[in-house]
Amino acid sequence: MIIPDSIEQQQMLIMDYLYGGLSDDERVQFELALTTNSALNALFEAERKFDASIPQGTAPVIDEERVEGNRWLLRQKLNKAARPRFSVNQVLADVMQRPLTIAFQGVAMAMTFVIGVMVAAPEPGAATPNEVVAIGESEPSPLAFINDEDFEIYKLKVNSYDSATGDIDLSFSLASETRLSGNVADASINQLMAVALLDDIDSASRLDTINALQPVLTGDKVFNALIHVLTTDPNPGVRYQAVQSLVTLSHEEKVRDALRYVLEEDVNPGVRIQAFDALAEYKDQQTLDVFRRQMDVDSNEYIRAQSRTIIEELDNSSINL
Amino acid sequence: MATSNVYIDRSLGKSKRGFSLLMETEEELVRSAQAGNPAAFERLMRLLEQQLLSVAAGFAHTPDDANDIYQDAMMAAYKALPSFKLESKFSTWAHKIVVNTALSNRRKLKRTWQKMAVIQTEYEYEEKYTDKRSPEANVLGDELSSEIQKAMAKLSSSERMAFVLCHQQGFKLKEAAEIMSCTESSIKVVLFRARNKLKERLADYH
Repeated sequence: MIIPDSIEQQQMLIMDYLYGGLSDDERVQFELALTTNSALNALFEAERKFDASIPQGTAPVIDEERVEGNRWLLRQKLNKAARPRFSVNQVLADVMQRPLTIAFQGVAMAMTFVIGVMVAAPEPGAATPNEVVAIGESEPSPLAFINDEDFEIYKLKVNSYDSATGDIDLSFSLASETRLSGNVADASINQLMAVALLDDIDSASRLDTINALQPVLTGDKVFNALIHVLTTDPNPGVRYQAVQSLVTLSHEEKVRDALRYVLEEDVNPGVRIQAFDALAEYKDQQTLDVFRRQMDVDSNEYIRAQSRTIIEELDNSSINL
Repeated sequence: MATSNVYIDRSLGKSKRGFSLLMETEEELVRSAQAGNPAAFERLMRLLEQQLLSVAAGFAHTPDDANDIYQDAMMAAYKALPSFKLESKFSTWAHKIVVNTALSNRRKLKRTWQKMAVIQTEYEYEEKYTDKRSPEANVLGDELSSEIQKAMAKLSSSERMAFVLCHQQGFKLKEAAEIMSCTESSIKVVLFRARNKLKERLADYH
């Protein structure tokens, strides 16, 4: 190896040495040159000092919790991206492919509308029993609708109010609400609640719903909804409630699949511990494979220790046999 | 093409194989992810996520920024995956996307941070640094971590990129050149400049 004379070139050679740009032979020759070439050695010492204070490999700390949080968030985003989306272009393309079908459907809808109008039109002079007319006005007042118990007011806002005359200008929204009373054991009610869990209801309602469903865990819809919540819900409290409900059904293979998944993937140690305790009762091969991995990698000490104990007991018993 | 990497499938089973343990090569996972399987993409990322997050953190102002860079980069990678050619190494390609995302985010965030700096000279929530290669992997003191962060913020984009890849993450000059799409010679020059600037700013620590 020829050691260059210029300082700049020597500095580049040092960069090569420090960052893997030299072959093994070249490294040996470079180290030899350091003992004979004082100028090169002086430059190298200056760099070595820097490396001593901030060694190579000094990097931001990325702890397991942060990695798991990012993994969880990425999964949500990927799942969202993988869902099929409504596309106007796609709809138009479909229409263009089936013009006759669309034309037939259009004519059928038009005919239905015409027949509907003819049937519903009142006879001249006949009274309309449900017509609501506000006193002193020819148009029905919007206030007439709020007496109906099916509606409730929200977002009420006073836009202007004249205290001298009493004139007021309000804006409000009317929301329709359906109330259902019955027993949670009724399949129609618990399945409705299960379906609601898959929809965009708030965390508190999801918690209440899972809590109410706990005594009546029957039917595929309820099962699937709870598994869905357990494996995808962003709220750890909700997932914890779901795992508590599901552990009572861990004799079901489908539930154990979900519990194994949660044991490996959930960021919340409380949820994982619940899943672990339930799985520890069923030492099938798939579960043992998961324990074998978790005994080394789980961030929770309890899960690591318990997994190790189970696996070691199993290994010892197989050796004795 | 590195086909020797073997991945363990721990994903939520959408396939017939369900949650079962299964060994897959990088190539199989890439092909599956290219076909639109997000679980395969997640498994591909499993071995790289810690390092990719660390690279993102090397470019970011705060840990939250780093997480955002990582998330944006991963979604960009997932969308761009069909165009990935199996001749190159997947990890190099993934690093390249993180670096490019970090640079574009840096440009976007620069103005915001300049405004924030007027009202807030120090951001309290900063990255902590550790020496990964030491046996104890001790976390450096808050003061030194903070000084490294501040000194690195003063580097130009290319200097910071070279320093993060070569000095922090241990990439060789050749690999870093591939990620940064430039020559080894130019990496050496910017790396040397970056080290000199950091030496000046961290003079009290060496």
